[in-house]
Amino acid sequence: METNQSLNALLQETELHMQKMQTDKTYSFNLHQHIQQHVDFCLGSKQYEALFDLLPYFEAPDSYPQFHNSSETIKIYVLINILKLELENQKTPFLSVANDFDSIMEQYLLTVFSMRRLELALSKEAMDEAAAYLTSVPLTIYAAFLISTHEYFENYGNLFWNLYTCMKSFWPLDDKILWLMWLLEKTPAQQAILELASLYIEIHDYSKAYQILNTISSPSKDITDQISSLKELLSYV
Amino acid sequence: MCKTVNEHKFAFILCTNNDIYLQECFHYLNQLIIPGNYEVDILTIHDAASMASGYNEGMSSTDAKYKIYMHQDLFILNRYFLWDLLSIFQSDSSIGMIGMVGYPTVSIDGMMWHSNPLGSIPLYGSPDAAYPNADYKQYRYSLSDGITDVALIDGCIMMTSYDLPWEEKLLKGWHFYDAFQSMNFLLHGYRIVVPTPKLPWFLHDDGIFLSLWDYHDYRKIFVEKYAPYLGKSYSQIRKET
Repeated sequence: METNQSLNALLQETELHMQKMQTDKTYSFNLHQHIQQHVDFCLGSKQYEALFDLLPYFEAPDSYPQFHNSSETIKIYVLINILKLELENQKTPFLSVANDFDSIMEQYLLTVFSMRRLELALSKEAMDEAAAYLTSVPLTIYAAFLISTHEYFENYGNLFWNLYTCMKSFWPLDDKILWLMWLLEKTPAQQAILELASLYIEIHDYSKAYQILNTISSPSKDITDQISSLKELLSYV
Repeated sequence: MCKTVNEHKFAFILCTNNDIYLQECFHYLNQLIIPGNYEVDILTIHDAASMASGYNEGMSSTDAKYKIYMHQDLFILNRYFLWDLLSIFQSDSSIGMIGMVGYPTVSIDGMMWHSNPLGSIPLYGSPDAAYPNADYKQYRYSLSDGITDVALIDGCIMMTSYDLPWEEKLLKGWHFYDAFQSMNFLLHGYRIVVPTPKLPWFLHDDGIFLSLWDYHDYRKIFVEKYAPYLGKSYSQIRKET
């Protein structure tokens, strides 16, 4: 008896949910079209900050209860968040080479696909193609990071390191340091620690280079020697 | 309809409406290692009227014994996928269909995911990756990793060794073709299985949000047509047929 009641409740809930989706369809399609037109306008006229007008749709969903996000609209939300960080940090926006909704969607997808090829590293050819694409768009560390957290990736160690290797000639020093710190939060890879230490040495921050090298659990003789040299150098400063 | 079956041939059959996804899908197909003496066909159906009609068109235009019906946004990561497919089909000739995500029971309301899923399902946007050290270059599946019987499989990829027509008369859209075809195979006495590999074989890049418009209409058709089997497991259904 109880089982029948709960089954009936489930069936009723399904029925209501499905009916609501059908009634919301037109509203949601219209809103999707409005978002698309607004993106077309902002990218076409290079008025990027006007994209922030779309934020309430994503951040105050109770105000638009009939709006159902699609995989495209959610990408727009990710792109707006990327833009916010890029403008705050005075970077050329990732979306600045796109002219409309369709071209930014294409750019976003190709970026995800290229990042995934770097993560999986199935063949050199695949990685070379990916690197060629990623270096052809203004891929900031903010774009790469937010895309990595919103899309499906598994091996973050591979992704972050291979992406760093591909982008290091394009990213400024501060960005490279930040990226390697994010990488080390994901995985304590020794190659990333050594790279970060070398960047600190490049900017004469020997104290940080010393600290970061000391996090290596079983350092080789070369690394131990480097740590000793830094310690000695710091004692003079 | 092709009359002779080529036992040494695979056919990938895809309905497509997006070249960017399709090209990326091809990229992963091109990474596959093909078993010796086997051929591979890739058939793409553009602007199909429905998934079922597109798949019927693909099915009738190839003589391949092994057909892989898949979405354009599904990327095959297991480079030995075709070898593994053969090993499963050849382990028991009553296995008619293989999926990647399956459901042992037909849900009472017809919605697959209201029943417990089995198989390998990568999670979208998961903050903690389930396979952080995944290395697909070295990966190999073994039959001892397991397969499990199910009643229904998800349509993101459906692999068959026998041809049964897809239900294009009732299904004019993009939903429920998978549940209908699963029931079709089950009621014809075939086993449907999903492997349980140590690493997922595929990545389904359909994003977090599903487009479920019109789903309700086809759900009602499914529930009506297969009413005697709702709430039943694959073994119960097999016993009854």
